[in-house]
Amino acid sequence: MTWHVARPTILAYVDGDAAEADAWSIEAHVTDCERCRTELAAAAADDPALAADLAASRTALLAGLPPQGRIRRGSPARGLRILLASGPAARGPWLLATLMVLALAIGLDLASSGAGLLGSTAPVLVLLAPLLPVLGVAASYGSGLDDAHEIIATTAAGGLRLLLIRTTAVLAVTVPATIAAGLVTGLAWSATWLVPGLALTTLTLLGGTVVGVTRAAALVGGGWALVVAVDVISETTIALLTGPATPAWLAVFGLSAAALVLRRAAFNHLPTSIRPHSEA
Amino acid sequence: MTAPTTLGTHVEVRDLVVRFKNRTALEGLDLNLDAGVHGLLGPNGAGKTTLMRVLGTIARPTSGQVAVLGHDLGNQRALRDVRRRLGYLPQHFGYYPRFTVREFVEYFAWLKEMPSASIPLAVDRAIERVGLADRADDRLKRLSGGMLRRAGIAQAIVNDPDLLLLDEPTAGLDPEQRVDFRHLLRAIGVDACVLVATHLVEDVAVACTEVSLVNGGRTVFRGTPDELAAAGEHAPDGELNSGDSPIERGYTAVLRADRAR
Amino acid sequence: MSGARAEPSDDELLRAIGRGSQEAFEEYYTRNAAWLLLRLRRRCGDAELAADVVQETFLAVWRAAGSYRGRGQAGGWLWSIATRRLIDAHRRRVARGESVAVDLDHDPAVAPSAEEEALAASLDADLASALHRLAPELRAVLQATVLDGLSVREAAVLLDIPEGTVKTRARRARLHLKEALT
Repeated sequence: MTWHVARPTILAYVDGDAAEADAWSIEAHVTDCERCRTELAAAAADDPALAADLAASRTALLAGLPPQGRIRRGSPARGLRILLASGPAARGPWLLATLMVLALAIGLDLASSGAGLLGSTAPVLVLLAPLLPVLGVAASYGSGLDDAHEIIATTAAGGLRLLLIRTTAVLAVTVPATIAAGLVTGLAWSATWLVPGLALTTLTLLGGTVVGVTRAAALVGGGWALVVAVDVISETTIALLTGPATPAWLAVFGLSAAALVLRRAAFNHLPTSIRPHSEA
Repeated sequence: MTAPTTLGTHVEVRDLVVRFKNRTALEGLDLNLDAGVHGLLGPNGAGKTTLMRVLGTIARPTSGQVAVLGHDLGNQRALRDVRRRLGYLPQHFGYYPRFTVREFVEYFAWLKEMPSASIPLAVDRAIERVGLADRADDRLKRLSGGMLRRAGIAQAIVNDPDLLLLDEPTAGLDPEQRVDFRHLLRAIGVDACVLVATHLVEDVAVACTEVSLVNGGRTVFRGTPDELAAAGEHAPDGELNSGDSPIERGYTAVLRADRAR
Repeated sequence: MSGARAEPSDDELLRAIGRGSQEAFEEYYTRNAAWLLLRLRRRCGDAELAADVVQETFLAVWRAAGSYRGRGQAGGWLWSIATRRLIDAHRRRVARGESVAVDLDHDPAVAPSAEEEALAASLDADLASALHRLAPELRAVLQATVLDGLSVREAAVLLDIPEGTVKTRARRARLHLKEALT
């Protein structure tokens, strides 16, 4: 900055006799100019009355300094962190359930040395892994499970945005955890659980626009359980659980995601337990 | 269809009907509110909470017109703008026990989409205004009921809302905190519209500039606290249990007159 | 640049305060309390209220310095804290039913010409004289919304006039200035 306030102008301002335009100029400039702030402070120190006021204020201030708070900078990353901290990915019970399901799948798969559960030939991991994100989404969002839902429903970002942030967090936990489990059982990376898992997740979200996320998760999860039950009882690996079905699952994923985008306004008013009865 | 709203009108409700599956909560309610502290009185089940939930953009009307901060609530685009300028505290609110007061208030500042750079200071100021500055970094599970209530109020005011909706906000506050809270409400009401639903008639008498009395899903009285008190003077007296204070007698008289219709 | 200055900048002081340094806080106060107090006095015409707002502002600085993330914006940051507190103080006074009439006549009638010339570097002389001829109530609105960066709603509280009046006066003030400058 090349221009600075002239000393006489500063003195006039401190004395309270600066012209209005000068005062505006000083105030606008001083906000951005450290050097002129310091100049002004020096001029004020030479004014006995003002210096006395400032000293008194300083003494009172320093005598009563409270403990400093744990305040953090307001960066977008901080915002993301705080929005996630309230979601299920950060909650013990859901994490514990995820880990237990995976441990169960690993145990059964290892015990049967990859031959599948009971009559089924599909690895248990393939049967159970797609359910994990659905459970996570169910725990993410819903009047029954989010404690502060009543307030969240009145906020601008409390709809689809919060839901997507939390769903992403759920996937960020379940996908790597399942891959790790797959490595243990020797299944390693396989699209047979990943793509159905994603498709069931978007289906749950889409269903959430109609019946609420919690109920949609119950329906989708129940549907998957039925497929698994048929698979186990029929003692044959049904086509839905095999590699060739992957394109079909991809199509389900793509279509439900597109439909979700079209229906996003529905998240402005999620179905809640107390819902006005629509007559129209 | 959409009524043009005049500048400065915070809430405009016309012929609002809200029906649930098995009962009618609001039956043709009208209400106009400007800046100031407004009390919403009425017996349990009168429809106070339903009205708060409609104005808070949670519940949707079955029929009627609701404009909040100059926008018709049927307009999905405007909804986001309205929500950024809302503050809402329900009677029963869940919280995350492991959050600190600061994190709790910050959480809602983010959800209200405040500019990120302004959030830390806005949170600090909101917590200070409710008198919790010394407990700002305590976890919510360690707070008393009154402190929790104040943390709830802090999240409601963190964005300097133009419309502040408080449902039974003094529950759990001790008498001294109630006095502080009334001062805060009056200060906020200078340039914002504050609607306080309460069954505590005395709260209204002291803190509010205006009172609306709801009964059976309709507005049955609208006026200043003094006018409500005056309504009790003309009522047929002789009943000892009609209230201890003038405003309570007015409240009872208006309700009785409405029921007798 | 004044290369001889080895003193920490306000940014550095704020970071040190954020880490809990009371020494840095005292230095920050010494540098910034004067301009803040004078500017607040010019805004509310009440020395006692201005002193209270300075106290509250620096307490907030002590608590919240750790959240400062600007570079060279320490002045604007401090002023934005102070304006929020000033308006809160006004709200409390209005709520108590006290008058908050803003003194619009603190402006001396004659502008010193020597200073007017120095001013030309940052503020055009025509603009200065146009500002000077502006009616006090229009100038007050312009000051609140442009110079102090307040929202219409905040300016309305500070000046104790309806929001609609703030808008019309701001429009009129801009028109006057535009006319005077063409």
